[in-house]
Amino acid sequence: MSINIQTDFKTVGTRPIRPDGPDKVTGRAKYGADLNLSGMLYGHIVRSPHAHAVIKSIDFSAALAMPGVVATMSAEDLPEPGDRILPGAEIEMKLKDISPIIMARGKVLFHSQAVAAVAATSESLAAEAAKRVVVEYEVLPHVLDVHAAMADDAPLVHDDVFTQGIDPAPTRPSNLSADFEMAKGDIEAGFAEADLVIERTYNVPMCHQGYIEPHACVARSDENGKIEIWCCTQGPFMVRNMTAEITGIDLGKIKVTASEIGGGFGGKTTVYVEPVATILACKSGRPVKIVMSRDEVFRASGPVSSAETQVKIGAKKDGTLTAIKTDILMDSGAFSSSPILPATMFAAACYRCDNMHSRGREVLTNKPKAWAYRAPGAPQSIMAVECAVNELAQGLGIDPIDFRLLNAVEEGDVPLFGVPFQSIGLKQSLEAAKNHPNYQAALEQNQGRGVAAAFWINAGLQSSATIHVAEDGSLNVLTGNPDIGGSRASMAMLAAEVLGIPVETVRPSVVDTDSVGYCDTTGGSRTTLATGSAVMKAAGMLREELKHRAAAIWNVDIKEVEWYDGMAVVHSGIGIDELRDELRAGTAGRNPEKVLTMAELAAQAGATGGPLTASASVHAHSAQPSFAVNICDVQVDRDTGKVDILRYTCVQDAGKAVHPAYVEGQMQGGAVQGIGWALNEEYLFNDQGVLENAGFLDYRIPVASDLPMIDTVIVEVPNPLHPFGVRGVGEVPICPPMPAVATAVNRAAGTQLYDLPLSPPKLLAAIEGAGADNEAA
Amino acid sequence: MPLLQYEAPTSLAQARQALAGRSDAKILAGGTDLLVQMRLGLRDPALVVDIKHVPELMEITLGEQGLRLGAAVPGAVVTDHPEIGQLYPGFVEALGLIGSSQIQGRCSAGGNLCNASPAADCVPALIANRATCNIMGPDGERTVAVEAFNTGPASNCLAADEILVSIDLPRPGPRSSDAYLRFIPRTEMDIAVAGAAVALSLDEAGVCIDARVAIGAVAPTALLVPAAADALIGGTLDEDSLNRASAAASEAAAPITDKRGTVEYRKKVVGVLVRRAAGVAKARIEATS
Amino acid sequence: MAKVIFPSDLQAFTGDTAEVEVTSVNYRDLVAELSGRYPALTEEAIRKHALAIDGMIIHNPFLEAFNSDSELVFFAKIAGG
Repeated sequence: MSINIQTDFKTVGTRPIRPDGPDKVTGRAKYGADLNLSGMLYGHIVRSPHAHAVIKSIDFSAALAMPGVVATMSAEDLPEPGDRILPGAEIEMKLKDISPIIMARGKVLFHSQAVAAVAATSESLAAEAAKRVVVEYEVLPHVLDVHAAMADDAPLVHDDVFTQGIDPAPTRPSNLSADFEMAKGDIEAGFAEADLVIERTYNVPMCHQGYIEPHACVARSDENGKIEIWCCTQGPFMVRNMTAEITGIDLGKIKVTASEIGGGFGGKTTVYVEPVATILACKSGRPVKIVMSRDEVFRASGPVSSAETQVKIGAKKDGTLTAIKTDILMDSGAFSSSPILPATMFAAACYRCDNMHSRGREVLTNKPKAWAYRAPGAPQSIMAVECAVNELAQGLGIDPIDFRLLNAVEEGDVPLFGVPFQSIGLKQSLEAAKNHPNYQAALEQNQGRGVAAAFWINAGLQSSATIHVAEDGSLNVLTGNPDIGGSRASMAMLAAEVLGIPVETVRPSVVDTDSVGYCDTTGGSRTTLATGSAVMKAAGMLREELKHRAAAIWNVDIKEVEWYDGMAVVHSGIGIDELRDELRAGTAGRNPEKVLTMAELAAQAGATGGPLTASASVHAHSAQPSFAVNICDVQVDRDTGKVDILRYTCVQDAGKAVHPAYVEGQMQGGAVQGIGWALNEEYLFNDQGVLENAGFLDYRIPVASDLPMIDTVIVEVPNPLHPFGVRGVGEVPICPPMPAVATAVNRAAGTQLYDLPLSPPKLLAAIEGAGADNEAA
Repeated sequence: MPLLQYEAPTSLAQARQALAGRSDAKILAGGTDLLVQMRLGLRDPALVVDIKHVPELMEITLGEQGLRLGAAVPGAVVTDHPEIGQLYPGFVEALGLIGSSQIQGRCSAGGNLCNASPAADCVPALIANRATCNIMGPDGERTVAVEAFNTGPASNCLAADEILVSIDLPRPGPRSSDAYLRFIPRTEMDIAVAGAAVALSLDEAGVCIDARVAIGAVAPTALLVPAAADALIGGTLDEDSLNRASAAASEAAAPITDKRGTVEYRKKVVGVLVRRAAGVAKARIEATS
Repeated sequence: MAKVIFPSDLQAFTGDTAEVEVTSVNYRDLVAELSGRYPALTEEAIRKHALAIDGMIIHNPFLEAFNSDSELVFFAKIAGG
């Protein structure tokens, strides 16, 4: 499968001013919590004080006795999920794994799980009323640690979970919800062939996406049962679907409008508050607003699975990899939702190796239900493989980039997950990293360098777009994908490119679920690729329509009309090349007998068939993988264990960067998130399952002053399936930072610490331990 | 619904009156701790007395004797002051470490002290500078050394109807300076895992003739560590005296293990900070004389 | 004949067969052919997977056609972030 890929662009690849910029920097942009309606109530959610308990009873009477408390709800107000599978979801999801996150049903399975909710006339009144909801619990033993959860006598998180992937299927329920393996070649023969084998265990902690804007929504119900929801989300159509399924309200009665979004990173690809506000709005007959606090976001949204990964990897003296074995254990929290599949499938996707084996196990514990975070699952397992590769290269005395170049996958190679690679840019990215000045920078004492490569699959999925031409020839481009990473800019640029018009004349908008065709969620690095393809398709249809309108005005055959540089031009009496020369020279002027601009065509639209619009939809099959390579230099303070990032370099194959500044922003943002995960971010639970650092003070994402300028290099190996060569860019940036940082730190400190985060107390203890080992030796 | 009462007295007498007989009141200065605690449900006062309009609490007086700093003077006012930073660079640095630029416009040394966090940044620096607290109560004024002001985490020596009016820092002698260092896992916007302040006076030969060492975040309150000061006095901040001071600080530390650090880690790092802070203070003296 | 590659979870239904050749040239026929050949391999189990046709991953391949020399890889559906 191949198509002609355009390489000469007018707009794509430039850096126009972002359309959302002025509203964001002036504070005009409206985020989830910024909408207020007259008569609006405030919802407050009552949360479990226990990690595992039976809900014996819920008594709302004291709360309802307070003047101004208008409505209450609990799981009683939601339909029984039964065995229903969520229709239309990207992957199979059971309603019984989703509904209890909105309202616990019968049992609570983690601390701070939603149990009930109240709506009142003010925020403070709602909070006070929530305190007066009396919930009687019967506390059950809980389990927090994945190893403890797999013990025979462990408390069961669910009594109806039987391990998937084991043949024959187990007859006893357990907390091990999935255990599966993938293999190719002969793994033991591969290790027998190796001259050096590295075997080590790597731990990545449970963390949070750390989006700055908490979940927020307003829901309104009218007398006809029509529901309107305004919320910050990555997917308004997903909110519509999930709210319908969870509440039992007909999907067709729900309209969802996505607000501006202050970060999602995968964390806003599900619902937490929207169904609650909807039910409270239906019961009260008034609009209801719910804004999660930061504390609630940390405790009760979807954090990111921890992973313990054992890697065994072997190579010959010449550096050829002979065997790669990974065994990944993921904590999914209280429901099966971890990204164990991609973690297992993609751990070593960067490498050509005949003998591979990967095992993935997902374990349930009494912790919040894990959810997606940029390239879900890949950072955890890639962390392990990349650190092991660095150790292997070092042990063989081979430069880590050369080692990777020797073993990197390229077109035609078949990874463990079976789908042969088409044209990909891993080797080109490795070469670019090797040639970067930062890779040559001299290191001083207590400084170290780490390199890592990474893969992510990227998604396509379904998208729609509508284009309207205004009377002056300017355009509205409408899609249903919230702009979390620059999609409005790329939608406008792709439309401008196809039509050959200035990007400034295109106004991109994210519109509600009633106003555009279905769009899958903004996620999976898919929006510029898939929704962009819908925009390109609609723009192409519009271009054809414009040619027809011009032909009608000129009264010539459509074959006589060309579209050039944003204008219709007619061949009649003059060759197209000659006309182009005239247009370039400006001598054709504004001769409407030869040339019709967008504005002129738009002005005559009424006389030529009515308003100019085009709508298109796609189920994009053109997604192709992305690869990235990072280089990290650190300095370690041997007296305190503190790590400073000295230099950081991101290289990534973007296929074709539509708006390079946004691509660089994605690369830098992913690096920062990965650096945070490597050095300080982690969920700290006490022995009762209560999160101890539910705030940004003690959940330490990096601050700006922690970081150097993050250097970026965009590599462009075109996606062979996309007419402009575009690949998704949003997720792979978070895959290489953890191993790059961890390797750099261990090189600088002379340690072998692979239990992330590499926080100062842990690193100092490792430095002292390594020092003691050296003295003993 | 409980109601919250708010008073904004414009004189010390009015403030005293507002607080008289009330055990359910809290004093509000910048609010950078109190408002956060109220929002988190950790404090639930019935009355908030805003003392930012009381002149004595907002004044800076710098004279022969030293500095009198109104308890509610914002951090940004102190850090922008042309002279205070020259006299007490360590103290000003410590105060400047509290929060972000926005917080600096509100937070105060007095508030930082009264909040009685064991990790408060400016408290060790005040102690190292021999600072004293001027307290106004129903029976008049009293003075308390900063090291005796706090009695434990979130508790201080103020009675319910007393107000911290100002803090006095004596003027340092010649060839004197101070420094404060804290350890945080990030570079800013964080809470000290350990902190150390050192104030030094050197003679012309570079011999330490006076020293005060105070440590923070490693005990229920910030601690004055005389043994660490004794290790420095009489020496030239040589390796041996720095080692002894560092060891004395580690020894004096009585930290806890929590989400921010372990006992072992805090004891070790506070010693490192004392050594480094002494070096900074010495360098400051040498640079200015 | 097109070549079909099963991931490990589908191999549980194919008696550990990882690779098979099929005469089908479209997805509809493929599902029928495979579930006919491996009774344990139900349509439902197959439809839970995406299908990669010659390297192009298709989330919902219901109407897809392919060539007699195509390589078909069943592929677990993956959620992005």
